[in-house]
Amino acid sequence: MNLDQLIGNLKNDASFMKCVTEWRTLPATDGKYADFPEGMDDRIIKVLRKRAIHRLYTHQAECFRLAEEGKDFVVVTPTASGKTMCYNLPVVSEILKNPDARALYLFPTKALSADQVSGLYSMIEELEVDIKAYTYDGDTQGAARKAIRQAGHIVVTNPDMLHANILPHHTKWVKLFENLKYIVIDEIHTYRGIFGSHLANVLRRLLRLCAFYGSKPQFILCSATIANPAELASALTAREITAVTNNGAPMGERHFVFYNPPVVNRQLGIRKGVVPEVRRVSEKLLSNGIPTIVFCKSRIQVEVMTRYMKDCIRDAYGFSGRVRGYRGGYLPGERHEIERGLRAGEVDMVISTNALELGIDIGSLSACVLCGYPGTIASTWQQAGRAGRRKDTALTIMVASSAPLDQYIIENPDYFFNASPEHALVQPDNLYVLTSHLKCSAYELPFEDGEVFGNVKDTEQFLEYLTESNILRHLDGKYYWMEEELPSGEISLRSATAENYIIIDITNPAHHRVVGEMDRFTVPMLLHENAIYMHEARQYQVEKLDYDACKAYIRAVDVDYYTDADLNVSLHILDDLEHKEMPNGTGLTLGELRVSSIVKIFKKMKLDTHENLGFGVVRLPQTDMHTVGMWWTIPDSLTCKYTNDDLQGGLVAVSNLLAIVAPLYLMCATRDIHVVYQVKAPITDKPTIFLYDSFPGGVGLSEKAYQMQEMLLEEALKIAEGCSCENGCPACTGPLAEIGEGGKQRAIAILKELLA
Amino acid sequence: MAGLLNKLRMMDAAGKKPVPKEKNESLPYAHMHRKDHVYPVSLFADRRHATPDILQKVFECSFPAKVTPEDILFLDTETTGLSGGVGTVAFQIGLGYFTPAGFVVEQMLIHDYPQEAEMLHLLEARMKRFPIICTFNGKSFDVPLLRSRMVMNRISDSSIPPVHADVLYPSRRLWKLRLRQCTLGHLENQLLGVEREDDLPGAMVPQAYFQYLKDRDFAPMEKVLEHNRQDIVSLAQLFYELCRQMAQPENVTQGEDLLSLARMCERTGDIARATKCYRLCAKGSTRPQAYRAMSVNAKRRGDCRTAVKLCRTMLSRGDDPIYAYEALAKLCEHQLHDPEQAMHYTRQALLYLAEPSLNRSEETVAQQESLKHRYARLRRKLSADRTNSSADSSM
Repeated sequence: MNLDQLIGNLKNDASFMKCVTEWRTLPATDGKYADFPEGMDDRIIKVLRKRAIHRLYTHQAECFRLAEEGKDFVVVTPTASGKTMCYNLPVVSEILKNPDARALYLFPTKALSADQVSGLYSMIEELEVDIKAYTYDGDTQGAARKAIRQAGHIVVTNPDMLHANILPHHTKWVKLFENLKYIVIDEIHTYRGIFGSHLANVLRRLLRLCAFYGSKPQFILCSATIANPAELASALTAREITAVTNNGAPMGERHFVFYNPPVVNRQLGIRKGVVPEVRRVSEKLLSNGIPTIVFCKSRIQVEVMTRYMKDCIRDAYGFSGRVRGYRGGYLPGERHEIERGLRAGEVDMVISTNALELGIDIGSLSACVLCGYPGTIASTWQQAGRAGRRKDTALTIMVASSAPLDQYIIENPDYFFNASPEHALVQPDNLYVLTSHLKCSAYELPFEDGEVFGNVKDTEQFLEYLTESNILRHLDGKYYWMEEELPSGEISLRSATAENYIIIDITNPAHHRVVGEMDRFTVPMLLHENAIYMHEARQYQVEKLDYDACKAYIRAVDVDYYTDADLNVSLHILDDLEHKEMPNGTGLTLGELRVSSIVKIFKKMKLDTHENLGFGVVRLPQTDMHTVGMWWTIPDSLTCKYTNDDLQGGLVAVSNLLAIVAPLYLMCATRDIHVVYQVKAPITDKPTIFLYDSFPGGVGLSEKAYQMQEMLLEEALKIAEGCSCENGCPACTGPLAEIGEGGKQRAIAILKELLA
Repeated sequence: MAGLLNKLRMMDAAGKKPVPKEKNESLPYAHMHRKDHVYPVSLFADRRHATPDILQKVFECSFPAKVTPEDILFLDTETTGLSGGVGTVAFQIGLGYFTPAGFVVEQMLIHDYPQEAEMLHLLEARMKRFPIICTFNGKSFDVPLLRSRMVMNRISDSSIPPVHADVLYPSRRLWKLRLRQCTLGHLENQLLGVEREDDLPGAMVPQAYFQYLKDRDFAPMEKVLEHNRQDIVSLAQLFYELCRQMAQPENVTQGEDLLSLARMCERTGDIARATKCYRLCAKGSTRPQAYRAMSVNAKRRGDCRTAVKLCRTMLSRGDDPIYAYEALAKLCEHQLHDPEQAMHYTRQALLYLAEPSLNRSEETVAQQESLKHRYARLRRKLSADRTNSSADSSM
């Protein structure tokens, strides 16, 4: 069966269709074309013609025009729309005109940069000109590095490398900095939250050095479809950014199927597992030889699913190479081999984590199976976009898990298809992140009195702080670096604070190995002594936590219980940033919080039955985190009708609902925000619901929530009302046992009153 | 905006106490510290040995056709850190050069960061006069650091002398075998007999400077300067010591050094000098390695007779007999086409290897295996030859 036949077949399959909550068909669109722009070098046109490209897509032509005009811009494109041409054409064209010109390409991962540079090479080769494009990352050999610094026209790297290796040694890159014409940043939608806040500051440092060397580079940015590409681009670069959104690439007909596994226990609302259902669906595609990508949530899921699928097609000789797994942790050579196999059509099915969501070239597949909702609308479209050649039919089947978020999406297809994708948020002025990078920048070049770092108006205050901490020396109008070590070494772009704990497996005494790391604020919860720590589906017990040395030692165990630390969180309001009063008397505040958490005991819970098997004591100091939060202060007029117990149950339910809704709108992971309630908050003396960023210093999530609070409440109400459960369930307010009798109804009532 | 400052202070998990702000925000000294010291030329080994030819063999790079002692600028810096990024500053530069009055060590030390440009300008003026710069590990540390500082102060780096003799690398090649450790301090102690008293360890220099910036007590800086002076004198002494040993191997007394010297000569293709060094090893502890190396060289250039002779000499002296027998076996089998003799030598080598007291390392086992293979092959060859010759005679 080909895909069209299979689609017809599925539509007639009653047992399949009974689980389908939505089958959406998106019509094919034609391509929109434009002639080669006037300023484009003839040599480039010749090469394109040789590739049978006689016109550009409209968005590619517009990008070229904007680049020529000296504008900074972001191009928003779905997968397979000829994105790389949007930046390669203007960059190569510029270098052909001016051989001294330089460009810097930033990709979020090493794998991606290696992939993109190979495409660039082939174009340069066909041009038969001397343009040198190199990747510069951890894998680059020492001898090659010198050549790249001297002669590389296009340097392809990642933000981490720029931060730790290029900027602190900028005097070795004089040629690059003096002649930098373009900074190309691909996949900018991945730079949100902490990573994005770091990148924005790395770019402030980069631009400061460019100014020192006398260059003023232009930005070309690329993003997947998100709600606010220009805003994000502008927050990252502190420049005014033009957005190019008129995608001119043609697209075939696409089928998007929402599949909810059948209910097996109606009382408890339990559905069949997502993995066996994905297996069933994928087998259909595989047995018909339809090129398919299956996206799983975790590495372990990838492994399990790969085994199922391999078993399904293994031939008499045990060969099953047409099915491949793909995830981080595979060696680069192996990954390239798989990518090549996909492009060449030798692989029929690849099972991957979101590692393949980004633009690695794997050709185009016909079908895509999502094992659970990927977490954001943007990510879902990205993954679905992996299926579908430009003119052919494509099929995406999303199989929901029993998680509340999945159930919400699968039951509300209109939300998914109509809502704009999420906002990507960054907070470049996060105090921790900004201070770290100011240090790096001061190391790289002394600040002068009155100088402003990027667009940070309070630069002088920060410098004064660093001076009083004896890190800088202020003299004769300049701030000089006064420490031995270089500061970039201890700053990781992928977390908020430098203090990460490393987790060491000591099961094999002869071979201790580092298995992971964890930030300071999560350690007391999951890595206290005697905790059962899960890693790659294996159980370990924490043998020793060396709190001062930031190390946790774990040993593999096999026990039938898990541990659940009892976290005591207290909130302390440090500062009100904004406040408004709703007509119904509800107070709405955005402010800074100190979140003090302390773990004193943990419970041992039996694995299947969740029985409490006993307690253990934890002796760890309290951790304080300064962050940004927003809170609803509920007036007595709304709450006076409830007893304290009833009110508490209602607030628990509302908090749970908000915790489900907020990540949907803030484009963040569930763990990136926290929602807590206090029946009687010490400051306000009134019932209060707090929502705060789980990152020190905040990344802008609470600010956004403050602006869209009404929408959050409305959505929370919609979930509660729309859920078929009677007294609350894990997919909405939380189960009865947690919220009490009538908790769901009270939550609905409270939400309605807050919205009144 | 005192609010922001307070927030920043609170953020500090370690709870560092703010230091009272220093009131004087401008520099009390108009100029950097400068001082010259002159040392007698007699401190150094005969400087005539440093000919372009010898220098080339020592440093493995090309030198101008004529090199006088006055052409060389010896340089060493003291810095605010060892990390080598752009934020590290050389706060003190020491220069050494020969003048008619003697060996001058010219030192500059900046009292604070703003004087860096003044110091770099003076450095630029000095460097312009010299075609050759000599340092200890300056290729990877001092010179890139100074280059970087010049870029940041917008001073052209074209004054840096084109030829760079870094004493670290030849020192490693010549002395590492014997001394194991090749820090400047260890070399000067072992080779020049220098005993530093009350020396400031290099690792403490950055902190000492930061302390000076705060308390303006110059005494520790005097120590830094003294340390730097000694470094420069030792550097120049080592430079000439390297040249002397290369020029006059006959005056080198240590067997290991002779062996190392011979290898250095081999690297630059000077086989004659290498052989001379190897021969000089005859009286010392490194004789077996030297003869072994000579026999390898002889074989490489196709001089089998000499190679055989050298191996026989080794056997007569009992030097590394396993190697000598095996080498002879190879020579007899492949070059002299004497399988019978080759088999004899192989058997001898195997006998030595069968010695129970011998340490059964992986290496000896591998050697034994290869010898056994050789033995079996030679046997096959010989018996085949015999059959052939008997077939010949029967005809």
